[in-house]
Amino acid sequence: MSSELVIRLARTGPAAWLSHLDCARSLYRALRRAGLRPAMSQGFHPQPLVRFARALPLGVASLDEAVLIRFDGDVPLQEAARSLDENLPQGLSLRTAVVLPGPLKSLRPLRARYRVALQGEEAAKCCRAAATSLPGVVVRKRDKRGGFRDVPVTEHLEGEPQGDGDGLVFTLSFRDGATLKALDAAEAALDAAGCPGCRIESVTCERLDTEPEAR
Amino acid sequence: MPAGIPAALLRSLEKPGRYVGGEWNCRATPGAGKLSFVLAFPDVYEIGVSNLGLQILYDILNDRDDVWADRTYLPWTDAAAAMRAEGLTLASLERGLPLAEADILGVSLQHELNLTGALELLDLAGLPLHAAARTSGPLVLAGGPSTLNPEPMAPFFDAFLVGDGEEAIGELVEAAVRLPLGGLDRAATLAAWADIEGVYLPGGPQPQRPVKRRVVADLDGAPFPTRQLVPGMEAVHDRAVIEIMRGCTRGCRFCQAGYAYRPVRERKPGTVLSLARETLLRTGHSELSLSSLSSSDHSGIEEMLRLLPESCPETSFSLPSLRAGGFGVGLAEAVGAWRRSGLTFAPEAGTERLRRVINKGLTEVDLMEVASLAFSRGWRRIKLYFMIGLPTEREEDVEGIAGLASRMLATAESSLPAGTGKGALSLTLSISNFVPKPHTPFQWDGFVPPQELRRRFNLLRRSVRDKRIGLKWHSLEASLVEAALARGGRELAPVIESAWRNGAVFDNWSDRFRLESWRAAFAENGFSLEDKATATLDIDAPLPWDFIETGVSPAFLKAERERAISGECTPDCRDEACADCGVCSGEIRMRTG
Repeated sequence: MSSELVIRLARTGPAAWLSHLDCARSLYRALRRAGLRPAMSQGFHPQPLVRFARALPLGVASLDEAVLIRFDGDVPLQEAARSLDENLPQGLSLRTAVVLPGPLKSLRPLRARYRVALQGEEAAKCCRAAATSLPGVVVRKRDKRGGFRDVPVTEHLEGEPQGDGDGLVFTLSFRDGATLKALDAAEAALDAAGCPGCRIESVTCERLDTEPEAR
Repeated sequence: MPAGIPAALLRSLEKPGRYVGGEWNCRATPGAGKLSFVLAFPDVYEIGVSNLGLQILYDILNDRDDVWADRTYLPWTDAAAAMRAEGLTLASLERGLPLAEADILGVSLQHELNLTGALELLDLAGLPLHAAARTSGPLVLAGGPSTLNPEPMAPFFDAFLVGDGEEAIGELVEAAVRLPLGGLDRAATLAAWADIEGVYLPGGPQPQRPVKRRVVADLDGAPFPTRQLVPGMEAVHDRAVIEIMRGCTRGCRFCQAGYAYRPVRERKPGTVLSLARETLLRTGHSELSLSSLSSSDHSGIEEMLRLLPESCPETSFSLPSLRAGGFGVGLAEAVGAWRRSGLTFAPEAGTERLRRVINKGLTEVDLMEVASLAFSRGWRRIKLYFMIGLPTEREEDVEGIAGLASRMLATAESSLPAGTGKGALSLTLSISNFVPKPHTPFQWDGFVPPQELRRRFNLLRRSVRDKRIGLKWHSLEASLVEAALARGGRELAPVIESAWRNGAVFDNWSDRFRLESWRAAFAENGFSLEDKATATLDIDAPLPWDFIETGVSPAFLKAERERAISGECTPDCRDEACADCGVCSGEIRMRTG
C-alpha cells in the first residue's frame, strides 16, 4: 500500500537559480536528511519517485511549486512535513503538505500566475504598457527539432493582465503540460510596449494550479 | 564600488547557480567583533566547492568564536567580463563581503595551471596584484600544494602556509593583531606570523630562512568536517568524502605528493565509520568516497569495506585510487558489490625495467592478476594510467605500454565466464606527460622536448592494434607550461603576470588554455618556454625550493635518484625496514594499524 504525499514549496533566493534537475536533487537530499525514503522506481537505475508538477525555468522564483512524492506504506504527515521543512536548503521552504488517495501518476499543471518586477523609475509605466500589449504579442518558441514556432500569447493567456508599480501580473495556462515561458512573454510585451531597454528584476510564480492525475 | 553579482545580471550568465551560495551546511555565523577570513579558490565554483582542504579549514574557522569564514570562487569568464563591464568587485558568497574588506584572504594554490586564477581573483577583488603595493585591505595568504615551491608566486602574496592547515590556521588567527577601529595591523600581524611553523613571508628579496612544512601528527584525532557543503548545482565530486589516510610511502619517484605529504597517517576504521555515518546524515548524500593518495593501502581497508554497507545503508561507495598490487579478492568482492562501472589502475610505465626506475613496484604478474580477477568478477572496462617521457625511457618502454595492454586483454579473455562476448571488453589507456616536480628524486630531470614526446606518442599509437584499446593523451602544450612553472623561481613571477595580462586564465580547462599567451609571456621576460621546461638541473646547485623543508632529506632524494638510474627499487617502509627518508621525528611518525 503506497501513500501519495503532495507538497507545495516556495522556491526563492538561491534556489531560483538552480536548474530543474539540480532542484530535484536538492529536494531528494533534503528528504534523506529528514529520514524520509520515497519509493523507488523499478529498473537498472532506480530513482526516487519524486515528481514536480512542472519544470520551473532557471531564474524564475516561485511561491507555489507542487511536488508529488510516493512512499511505500503510510507516511506520518505532520512529522514528515516538519522534518522535511527543517532540512530544506536556503531558498526552498515548505508551504503545505497533504496526503492524497492514490495511486497517482502525476500532478497535472493547469495554470500559473506570474508577477514580473522591473527595475528603474519608469517601471510602473512600463508595467502598465506591457499589460496592455501582452494579449497582442507573439512569442518565438524553439521547437523540439531545433526550429522556431511563433506562438500568440493569447493561446495561453487567461484573464486580463494587470500592470502597476508592483509589477506586471498575468496568468498562463498549460496545454498538454506545456506553456510559454513567463520571461519570454514579458520581454515580448515590453518590446511591443516600446520599453525594450527596461531591465527585468525578477519573475515570480505566485500561484500554480494543478490537478491530480490517477495512475 | 559595488560588490557581488546582482540578480538582474545573473540572468545573462551561464550557470548562475555558481554565484548565489546558500548551500546546505554553509555557515554564516554571527560576525560582529570577529576577525573576517575569506577562503578563496582560484577556479570555478563546481571545482572549488568539491575541494576537501577548503572545507576542512572552513569548518575549523567557523567553529571558533574569534573568527568567521566565508568562501569565494573564481567567476567564469562570462561573469568576470560582466563584472568588469558593470564595475563590480568580487564578494564572498555567504555575506556578500567585498574581498577587499576582509581581514585575511586565503587563496588555495592547487597546481601550476591555476596560478593565473589567483591573479584574476585578486584583480576581480579590486586588490593590487603585488603584495608590496597593498598597504591596506586584507593580508593575502596562500596555501595548498603549490606552496611547496612558493617562489614563482612570492611577489603576489603576503604570506604562505606550507603543509597541513588544521592546526596552523588557528595559530594564524590567534596571532593576528587587530587595530582598535577595525582591520588588521598588517606589519604587526606579519611579524607575529613569522614565528609560526610552516609560514613563509616572502617580503624580502630572497628567502630568509628554512621553512618547515606543517604536519598534523595525529590524523585520527584531527578535526574533519561532517557538515560538508551540499551544493545546489552539480559539482565535480557530488558526494560525501572521508579522508581515510594522508601521506604515502610507496615512493613512486615522480610523485610529489608521495614525498611531500609523508609520513603515512591513517584514520582508524572505527573513526572512519563514525565520520561516514555522521556525514551522510548531515548531508543527505547517497554516495561516499573514501579518499587518500592510495586508499587500497590503508591497513584497515577490507574491514572498513566490510562494515560500511551495514553501517551506512542505501549508500554507494567509491575508492578513487586503487593500487593494482593491493587489489585482492577481498577488495574486488567489496567494490564489486557496490558498482561495476569500471576500474582504474596506474601502472605508469609499460615495462618492468621502467617501473623499477620509477619505483612503481608493480610486476607483470600483479597486473595480469588484476586483469584476471577484475574481468572474471564481472568488470568489462578497465582504465590504465601511464606516463611517457619518464627519465631513462626508451622506445621499448613506450611500445611496452601497448604490449602490456594487449596481454592484459588476452588474460581478460581467458578469464571471462563461459558465454561472455569478448567484444564487450575494453581497456582505456590514459597517457600523461611526465612533468618533473620539486621535492622528488626526479626534480633535476628535464621535461622531454615536445617534438620528441609527440614522436613517442605516435610510436605508441602505431603499436596499439586492438580496437578494444582506447588511447587518450593529456595536452602536451599544457604539460609544457606546467613543467616550465613547476621548477621555477621568483624570476617566473613576471612571466605569470604577463601570461595573465595576455589572457591566460583557467589554464587547466582545455577549451580555455592558450599556449600563445604563455609563449609570449616567457618571451616578454627574456625566457624561452621550452628551455625552462626542458632544463636539466645541476644536482649540486641550489634549487629555488631548497628552503622549504618537507622533512624528506635532500640526501635521500639524491640517493633515490641514483637508485632510479640503476633500476633499484626502494621498498615501502610500511612493509620493510625504514628507508631513512628523514621525515619521522618526534611526534611525526607513521601511524598505521
